[in-house]
Amino acid sequence: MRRPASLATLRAAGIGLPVTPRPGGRRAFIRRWIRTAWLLVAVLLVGVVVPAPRAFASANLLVNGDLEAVAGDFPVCWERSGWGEDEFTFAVIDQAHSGTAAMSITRTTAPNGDRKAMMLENPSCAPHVTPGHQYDLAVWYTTTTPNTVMTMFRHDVSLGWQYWTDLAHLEVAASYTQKTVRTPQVPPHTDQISWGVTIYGVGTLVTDDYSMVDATVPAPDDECSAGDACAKGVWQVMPFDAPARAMHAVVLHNGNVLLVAGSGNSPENFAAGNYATALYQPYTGTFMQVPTPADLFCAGHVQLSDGRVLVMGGNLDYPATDGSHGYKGLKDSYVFDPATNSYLRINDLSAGHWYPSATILGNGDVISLGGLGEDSSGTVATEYYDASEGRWLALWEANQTWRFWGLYPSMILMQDGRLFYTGSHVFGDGLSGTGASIYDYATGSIVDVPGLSSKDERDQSMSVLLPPAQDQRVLTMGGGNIGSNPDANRLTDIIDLKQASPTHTPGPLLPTGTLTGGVPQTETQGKMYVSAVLLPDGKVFETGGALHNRADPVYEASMFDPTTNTFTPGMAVDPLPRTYHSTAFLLPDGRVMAFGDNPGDGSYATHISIYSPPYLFRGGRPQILTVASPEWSYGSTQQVTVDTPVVRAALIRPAAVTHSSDPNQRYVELPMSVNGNSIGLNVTSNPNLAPPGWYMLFVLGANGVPSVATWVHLT
Amino acid sequence: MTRERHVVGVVLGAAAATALLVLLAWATSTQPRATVSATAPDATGSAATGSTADRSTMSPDGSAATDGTAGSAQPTGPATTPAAPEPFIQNFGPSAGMPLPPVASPTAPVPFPVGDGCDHGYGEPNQCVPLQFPPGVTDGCAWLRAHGFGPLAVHGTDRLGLDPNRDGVACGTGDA
Repeated sequence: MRRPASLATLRAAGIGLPVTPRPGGRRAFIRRWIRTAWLLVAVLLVGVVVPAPRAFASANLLVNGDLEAVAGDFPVCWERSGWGEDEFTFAVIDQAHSGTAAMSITRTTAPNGDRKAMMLENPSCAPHVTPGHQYDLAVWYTTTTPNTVMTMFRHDVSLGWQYWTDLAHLEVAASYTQKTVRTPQVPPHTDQISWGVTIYGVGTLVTDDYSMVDATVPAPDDECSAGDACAKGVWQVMPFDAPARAMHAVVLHNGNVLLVAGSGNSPENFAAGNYATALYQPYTGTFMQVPTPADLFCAGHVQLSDGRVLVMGGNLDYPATDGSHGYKGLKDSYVFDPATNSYLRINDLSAGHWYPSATILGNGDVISLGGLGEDSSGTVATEYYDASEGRWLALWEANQTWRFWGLYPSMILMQDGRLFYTGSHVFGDGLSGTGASIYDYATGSIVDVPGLSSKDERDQSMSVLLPPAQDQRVLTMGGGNIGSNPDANRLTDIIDLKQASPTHTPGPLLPTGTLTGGVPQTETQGKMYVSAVLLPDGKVFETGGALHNRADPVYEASMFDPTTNTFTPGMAVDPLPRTYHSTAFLLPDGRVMAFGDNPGDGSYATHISIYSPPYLFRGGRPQILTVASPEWSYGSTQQVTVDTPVVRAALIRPAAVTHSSDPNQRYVELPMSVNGNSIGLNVTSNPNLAPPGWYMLFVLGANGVPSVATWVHLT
Repeated sequence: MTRERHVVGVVLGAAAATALLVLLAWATSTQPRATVSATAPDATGSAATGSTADRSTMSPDGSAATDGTAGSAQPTGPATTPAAPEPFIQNFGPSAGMPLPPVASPTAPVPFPVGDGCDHGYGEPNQCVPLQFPPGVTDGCAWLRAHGFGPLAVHGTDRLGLDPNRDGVACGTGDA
C-alpha cells in the first residue's frame, strides 16, 4: 500500500512511530515522542506549507491511514467520536493488518448511540477532495458484529463540517477483510471529507490500513446532435388517448401502469355505476380494461412490499346541487394484484376517506390520514394497515390523535420512522399552526415545524424527498388556494430533516412560464397542480400546473438540482395543459409520462404525453447486464455487472401518484464497490430510508445517461 | 549542504523542537483533550455550522477505559454465519419543538367548508364555478365563457350574481 510521501520519507530515514502501550523506560518514552514529534511536524508542514493536495489516481490521500503514527494513546490524525449511554473502549492494539498498530472499538453495551474513530476535522488531517470527483475508500477490518457502517462527513466551505452519508456495512469477519466503497460525487462547495467506521451494536471492531484514492471516471466527450433536446429534452404526445378519465397512476413492478379513474369525476358515470381502471402497457402502447368494483375516484393508494397495490377510500357520492352535502368518502379498501390484474376487497376502513394520504412504513405497514368522511366532514381517524395480517386495524386498535390532517396531506416517511407532514395538501387552507409538522405514530406526538412560506397558499403544491433519500431533505414547490383563488405562487421551501430543529428555508422561486396564448407570466405568478418527478440522474423534473382553481394552465417545466438547490429553467414544455387531475411520473425506461386535465368546465383530457429528458440525448445508455439476485435485503451488498463505467446507482420507488401527491416517491443512493464492470451495490440497513417493496434499479453512466431500470425486490 | 537546505533544516529543527515541547507538556497533562460528554448525543452528523461537525468527540476520561490496554479489544472467536445488520437509524432532529397538545375525539363533524373550491349551486356536479373568481375578474360570466362554460343551471341561491334576470340560468342570454 502506498503511503503519503511525508511518512515514507520518515521511514526511509529510519524513524519509526510509537504504538501505545510499549514497554521501555523513560529514554524509550522520550525517543518515541521525538519520533512522533517529527511526524506531527511533517503533518503540520503538509497543512501549512504544502498546497491542498490534488487528487490523482492510485495515491493514498490519507495521512496516517496505516495508523502507525500514535500520539498519546491514539493514532495521529484520528479522533474518538460517537455518543450514547453505552460501555465502550477505544484502543490501539498491535494485532495489525500491517505494521504494529490498529484501532479497536469495543462496545459491551449498546442501548443507543454509536462509536466511531474518525479522521480529525482539520486542514492537515482530513483529506482534501475535489467537487465532482469520486473516491474509493478502503479499510481492513475485523468485526464481531454486523452493526457497523462506513460513515462520511464533508467540509462545506461555507457551512463547515457536516454529516454527509453512510456508505456500506461491514460483514462480520474474524480475520482481516478489506471493504472498499466509492463515494458519491463530491458535492459542490466541499473541500475536505472525513470518514471512518461506525459501530452501533455490541461487539468489537478492529480497523487498519485505511486508504482513499481518486476514482473519478472521466466524462466522455460525447457530442449531442439533437438540437434543443440536448438541453431541454422533448415531449411527444401519444397518438392515442387513455380509455379512462384517470387521475391516479401507479407504476407496477411488471412495467405496466395502473390508471385508476373510478367514475372519473363524472356524475353520469357514477350514476350508471361505470367505474374504470385501465392498465397501460407502455412498451406496446396498449391498454387493458380492469373491472373496478367501486368508485375509486379520489382514493388513496400505495404499493405494498409484495408489489400489490393497496387502495383505500374513494368516492361515496358527488355533491348535492342543493348544497346539502359535498363529496362523501368511501370506507372501502381493495388490493390490486398485478399478477391477476384484479382487485380484491379487504376489510373496510374505520371511516370514509375521500382524498386520503397513504404512506408505507419501514415495516411494510401503511398509515392513511385525512380526507372527507361519509358525511362530507373531515375524517380524523388514523387508519393503520397491518401488512402481516393483511387488514386495516380497527379504530381502537390503531393509535389515534383525533386530528384532521386535511385532504391528501403529504406525509413523508423520515429515516427514524416518524412522518413529516410537508404542508402540501389539496383544497383550501393549510393546517393551523405552522402548516407543517412531524408526527410520531408510536407516541402520538405531533410537533409543528416552522418556516413554511404562505402555508395557506400551498394547496396542490408538491413536495418531494430530494435525492438521495439519505440526505433527508424535502422540497415543496408552488401552490395556491382554491377557496380564495389568488394567483398561484412561485414559492419553494427546502427543509433539512437532519437538523436538530428542522426549519423550512426559502428555496429559489419557480421559473415562470406562459399562459394560454403564449402570454408570459408576471414575476409574481407561479402555479399549483405541480408535478415533480425524481429522475435517475438525481435531479427533479417539475412540470404542469395552473394559475387558478381549475383554470389557466401554466406552460412551464424546469429541472431542479439538489446538489446546488437551483432550477434550470426552460425545459421543454408539455404542449397539453396539465391542471387539476393531472399527474406525471417516471417510467422504468427513464422517460416521464404525463396525463390528465380536468378544468372547471367539466371536460377531461385523456391525452398522454411522454417526456424524454436531456440525458437521453447525450450518448449511449449503460446497461445492467446481470443482477445476481432480484431479491435484496437490507444492509447487504448486491452484485451487478454493467457494460460500461458508471458513476452512480440508485433505487427509485415506482410512482403511486395523484393530485400532486406521491409521498412515497424516493431515490435511494446505492454506494458502489467497484471492481471493473462488476459492482457491489451497498444497500442501506434502514428500511425507513427504503421501505420494503419493488424498486427500479438505475445506474448512471459517466456521460450522465441512465440505464433502463431493472426491477429488484427489497425486503 | 546548500544554503537553501541549511535554511530548511533550521526551520524544520525549530519546528520539531517546538512541537516536541508542546507534546511533552500535553503528554504530562492530566486535562482531557476534549470535553464533550460521552453521553451527549451528537445527532451523529447533525449539520453543524461551525468549523467542526459535532461528532461528540469523547473525552479520554469518558465512561469507559480508553487506555489501550484492552487485550480484549481483539476480536474473539470465529465469525458466525454472516448476519444482517440491524437498521442504523440516525438521531437527527430528536427534539424538534414542543408537541402539540392532545386533541379529544370530536363530538361533532369536522367542517370542511371550502369543499372542492367549487360552487355547486351552478351547473353540473362535475363543473366547477369557483367559489371566488381570480383577482381582477369583474365580469364572472365573461370569465366563465372564456373558460369554456356555457349557460349554467342555478340550483338555489345565485350566490355569485350570475343570473341577474333570475330565469334560473346563469350566464344565459338574458344575463348580459
